[in-house]
Amino acid sequence: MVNQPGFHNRQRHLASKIRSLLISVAKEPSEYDNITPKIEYWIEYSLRERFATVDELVEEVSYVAWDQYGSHTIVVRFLKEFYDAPRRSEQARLFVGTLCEHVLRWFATAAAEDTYYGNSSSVASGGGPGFLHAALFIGHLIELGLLNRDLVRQHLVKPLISHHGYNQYRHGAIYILFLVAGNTLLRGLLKPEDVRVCFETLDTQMSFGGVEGPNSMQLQVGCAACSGISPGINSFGQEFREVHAAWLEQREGSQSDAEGAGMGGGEATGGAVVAEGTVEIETPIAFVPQDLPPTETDSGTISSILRGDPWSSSETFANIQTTAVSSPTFTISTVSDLTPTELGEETEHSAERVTRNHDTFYFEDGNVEIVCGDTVFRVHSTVISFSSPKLRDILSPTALLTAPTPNGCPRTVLADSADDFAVLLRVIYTPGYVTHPLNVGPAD
Amino acid sequence: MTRFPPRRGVPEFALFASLLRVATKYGFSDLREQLIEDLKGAYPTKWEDFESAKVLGEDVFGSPRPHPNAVLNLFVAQDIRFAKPFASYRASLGGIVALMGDEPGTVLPRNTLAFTIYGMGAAQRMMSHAAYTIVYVKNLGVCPNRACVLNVGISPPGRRTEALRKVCDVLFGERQGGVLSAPSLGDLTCAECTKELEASHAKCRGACWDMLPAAFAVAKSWDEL
Repeated sequence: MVNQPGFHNRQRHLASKIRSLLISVAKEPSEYDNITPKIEYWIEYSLRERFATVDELVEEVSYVAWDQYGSHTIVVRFLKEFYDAPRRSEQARLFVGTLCEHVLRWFATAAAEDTYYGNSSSVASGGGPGFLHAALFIGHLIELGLLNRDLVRQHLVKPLISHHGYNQYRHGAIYILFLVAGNTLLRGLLKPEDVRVCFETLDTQMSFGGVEGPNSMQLQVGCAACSGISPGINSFGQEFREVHAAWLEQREGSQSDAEGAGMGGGEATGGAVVAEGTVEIETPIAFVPQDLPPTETDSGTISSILRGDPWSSSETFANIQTTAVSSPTFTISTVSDLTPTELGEETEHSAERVTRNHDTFYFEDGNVEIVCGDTVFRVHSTVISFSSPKLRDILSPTALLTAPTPNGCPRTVLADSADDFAVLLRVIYTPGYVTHPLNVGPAD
Repeated sequence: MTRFPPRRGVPEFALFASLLRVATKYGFSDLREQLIEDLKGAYPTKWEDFESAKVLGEDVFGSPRPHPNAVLNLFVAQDIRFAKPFASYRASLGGIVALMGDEPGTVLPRNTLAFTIYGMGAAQRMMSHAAYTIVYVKNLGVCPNRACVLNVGISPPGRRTEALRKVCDVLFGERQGGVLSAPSLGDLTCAECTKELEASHAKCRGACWDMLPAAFAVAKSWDEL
């Protein structure tokens, strides 16, 4: 086949076609149902006719998946439907599994290999959008059952955050994991104890872009996200805030101790390098994943591939072949370019909307205003968050610290429709409104 | 307006869907569990519960009766897994055209649509097999009872076919509830034939019920749900 005339032209043409179709569907999600059957066809065709190997297709798809246009959501949706389609060939399913494995490898390799991406501007922006999109891509894969959350945690997150040697890319990766840890998709990947390790790791000196100094940007943004000062970036749970407060307290204590003793630095805290006046950069150490568990009882389909120990005991991320992990190109360079959706953000504070007060649920003695669409509800935060941990987070005093107060009480915006939220309020404020079983039991 | 409106018998679908969405989103676990619990009678997972249910499927939401596709969409979006097979079955009763409705809220995701069509085909194949068994294997049409429609003896083939058509029309013809609903032969056939035919048909219904989760690609069996 390879020796046939025009094979390579055909191969390139098909690869280009698949990639451009994926980009099209990423740009125009409304065309999803029209375009994805074509992508499915060409992928199956390429594999069946051996115009491309699974690895080559993985390259094409992953290029679009988290590098272009922030299209991870739509690509994951496609992958899931592609995988689940009846009568899908084994090779095609293997392709999806390999892609899932690839994203984990890419993330880990990019975080561990200081030299491999040394000249690349793609990852160099503090780990930037490449890590972020890959993290969100992983989150979507987990959500749809293509990746097992525990395995991702075991083979990516834990080794990543437990290694303390300085490496700007790993710091970038940790920072991204940390930043998106409150994201719905990735919730559970970072435990409170891990967040503490993240703080300690980020709280180091760094040398970045020729400038040496504290790793202030990442640390500050992380702290802000955690303390709810910057709810536009992320919204962490209460347990993360408690970790943050405890860590801050300990950090301030240790700093004052050091100053009191007149020490110049060089003291390690929790394994992190804390140097004052000098920059200590450890030699990057190869990132070695932990052994995979022998069996896994989850019902996930792709996890069977991970179960098969894709990373043999002798393999490290340092010696993964460069062809297996491509260097992506990024089009977004700063975190501020990210949309709230990408960050899993569901609330915002805004007073600049044309709104009307809800007829029923606008209580003068309410202590918080909630805007859904063009409707403002004024309710009692303790009442409506009594049974909802999520509303408790959203309406906590710290989360509302910077919220506008156009009518004398903090105002926050939710993404729900006014009708949906009104129904919820009716249930909350009207005992027995929907508290009886429907009359559908067995016949008498 | 009163802050304490009277209790409703059955929440209408729009209200139910809204509540389920926000309850799930904001972690009102008790409310979500209660709403799902209320569905269990109308979306049974056991044959006995199905046979004894007073209200089935989307009828539970009262008036206005929601489109089965909208209900299925909600169950898929909110991952109410146990109710998906029966909701898919109810949606499939409308046929392919209804499944592909394009009204707001009734457009099914591609996978769901594909699996529902597949399941619909599986149910029809099973029904066809049951009809084949009754017509061919059981050798009907020779009932000695003169009051029975199948008392055609050695009449010309046309008359025999006519008799079988009447029976199969009752057993397998289109009726509300689809293949799972129990037909009534009434006085069309004699007691003996009725017993035999209904037993055959019940076997078909039981088999159809058993295969619902797998046919609609929700689970391998009801036990998993």
